[in-house]
Amino acid sequence: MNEQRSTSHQDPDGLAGPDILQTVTLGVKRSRKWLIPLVILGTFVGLYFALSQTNVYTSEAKLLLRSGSRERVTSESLVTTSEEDRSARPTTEAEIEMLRDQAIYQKVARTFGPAEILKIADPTRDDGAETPWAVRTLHSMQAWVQGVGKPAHECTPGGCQTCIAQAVDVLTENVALEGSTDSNVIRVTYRANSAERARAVTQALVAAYVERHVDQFSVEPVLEMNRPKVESAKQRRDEAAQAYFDHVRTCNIIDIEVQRRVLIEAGALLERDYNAAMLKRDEVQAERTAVTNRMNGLGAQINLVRESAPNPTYLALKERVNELDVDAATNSARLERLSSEVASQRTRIEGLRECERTHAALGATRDFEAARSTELMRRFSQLEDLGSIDLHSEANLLVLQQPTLNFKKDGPKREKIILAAFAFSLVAGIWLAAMREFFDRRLRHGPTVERQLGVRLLGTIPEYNSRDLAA
Amino acid sequence: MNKLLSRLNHLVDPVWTEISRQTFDRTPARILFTSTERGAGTTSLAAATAIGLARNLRVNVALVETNLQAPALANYLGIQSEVGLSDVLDGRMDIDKATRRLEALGELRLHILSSGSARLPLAGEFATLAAKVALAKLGEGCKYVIVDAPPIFDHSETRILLRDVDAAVLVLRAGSARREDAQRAVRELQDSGVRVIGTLLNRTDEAADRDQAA
Repeated sequence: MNEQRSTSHQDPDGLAGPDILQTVTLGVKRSRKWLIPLVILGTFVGLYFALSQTNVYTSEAKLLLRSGSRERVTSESLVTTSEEDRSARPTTEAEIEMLRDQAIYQKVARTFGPAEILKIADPTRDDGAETPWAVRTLHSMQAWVQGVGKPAHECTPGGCQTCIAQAVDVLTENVALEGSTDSNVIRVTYRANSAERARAVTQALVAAYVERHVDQFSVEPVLEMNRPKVESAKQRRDEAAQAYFDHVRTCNIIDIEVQRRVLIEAGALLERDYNAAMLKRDEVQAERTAVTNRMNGLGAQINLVRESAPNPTYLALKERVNELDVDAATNSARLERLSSEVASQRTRIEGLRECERTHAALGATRDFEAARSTELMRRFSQLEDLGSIDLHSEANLLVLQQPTLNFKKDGPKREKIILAAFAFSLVAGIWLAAMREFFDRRLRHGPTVERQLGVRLLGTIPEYNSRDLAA
Repeated sequence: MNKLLSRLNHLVDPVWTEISRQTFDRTPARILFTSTERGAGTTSLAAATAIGLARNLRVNVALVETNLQAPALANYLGIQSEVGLSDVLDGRMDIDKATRRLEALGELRLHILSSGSARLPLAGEFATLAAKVALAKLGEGCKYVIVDAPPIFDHSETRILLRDVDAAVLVLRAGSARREDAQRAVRELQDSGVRVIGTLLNRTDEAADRDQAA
């Protein structure tokens, strides 16, 4: 018997909980009967996966992202005056994000053929008489496991949606796009189970990437979108010019300075005549008053002296009064005419001024529309120049390095797979054993009994089977 | 003697040693062996402990089997099992005639009262005067009376017996006894005023390994 010394004085209530290391140790010891087979099984599974995987080859290509004006063109480019307000050039990261567009892979899947992408290369294709039998056997097993020659499913020669989707999945799983912030080079790698196919798919992907870049940054859509704006600007310019010339013709102010001078001079003459007429009227009025007064005084003397005899002075004065009355009437009519002419002249001068103001406004509008239209047309012309560049031969995403043909296998790392499977199954087994022990509510071990019950364990008695007893 | 008991003899040394260290208010001291479930090995361990006490301390020890429903003690010890405690309680047999001596020890230091004719226990029969008298007469001249009782949760007579014993040993079957049941059993023993000497974890795998390795 193995006497277990009491530990209840250390943890009388069993509140400290089971020690993790002890739980793991007891769990592993208790579950060793299935833990060891589990680890062996896991290792064999890893071995199976490692051996059943066919070799993987990688092709690599490099793209150079050049940032030109086309990459910055937007509709706002036509109206923005500040260079800083233009859109920023695309970064390598942004370009890579754009190249991850599923549409690219769908296009490649369609052009390359989904069946070709999904087809598994026969591992035995390069086996010959000199190939060791073990390798030939391994290749045959790989071909059998991978289902070489069997289509994924029955579908039309052109590929159904399922095929396309599967091919897109394969493409996106095996392609890698890498770039860094301080470099404009984008590294494209593709993994396939034959070197030739890896290169062919990489080639197709690179072409699709360039095409996508060209489509994305093509000037044509911007030109098409903004051509109506330019036409509209031209139309507004012409309308403003027409309105200006119409106004000039209407107002007849081609020689507006002369007109103004003539009008002002004529007005001044009228004013002078008018003032002269006014002065004469006052003079006539004053003279008539004086003559009348003299005549009235003379008449009284005559009446007192000789009433019936006519006086020549009196008669001359009377004649003078009559002449003055005629002059006054004539002058009054002239004054009235001059007054009307002055008013009319003033109206003409005011009309001329209004015409001048309208003329100035229309001229400003014409000049503005003309300048705007000219600037818009200048920029549009620049865009047209950009658009006239051969986009495909002068794309700003260049193939820096053509896809490589690399016959050196890139995987699978069979040793690592086996080791990983062993390690994983070992850790999983230990973890499961520990969990089994941790959650087990049954008493199995002496220390556990003492800790849980707080009562001294007098001993542990082994299980005896009939063979033990017979011995 | 049964081979199992022969194997157990040296394994229960700490048990009888611990019992011999204990001080009891009365003589003979009555020590009850019980468990939380059937098949825990209470009878064999009680018998091995009784043998250990008698053999090593050279004192008279009485061993009584109270599981009337499933007798096993006689088989373990290789003694006649026609009569026993059930016959005494039924009044068909005198206790002296029902008690056996273990011949293998060579001396008459171990008095054994097996359960006798198998039958269902009667309610309260261990609370009767006849039972108390039988238990007292069995312990006459002995230093210890080892009471092999059925599982504490399945048999109410075990709870009744707790009123007439001084101490108890709880036998647990490794890998089968639930933690909560064992805690409840200990609590019940303690609540009955019985001194719990300790527990025995029976039928363990690890102990078997160590034993085999040794």
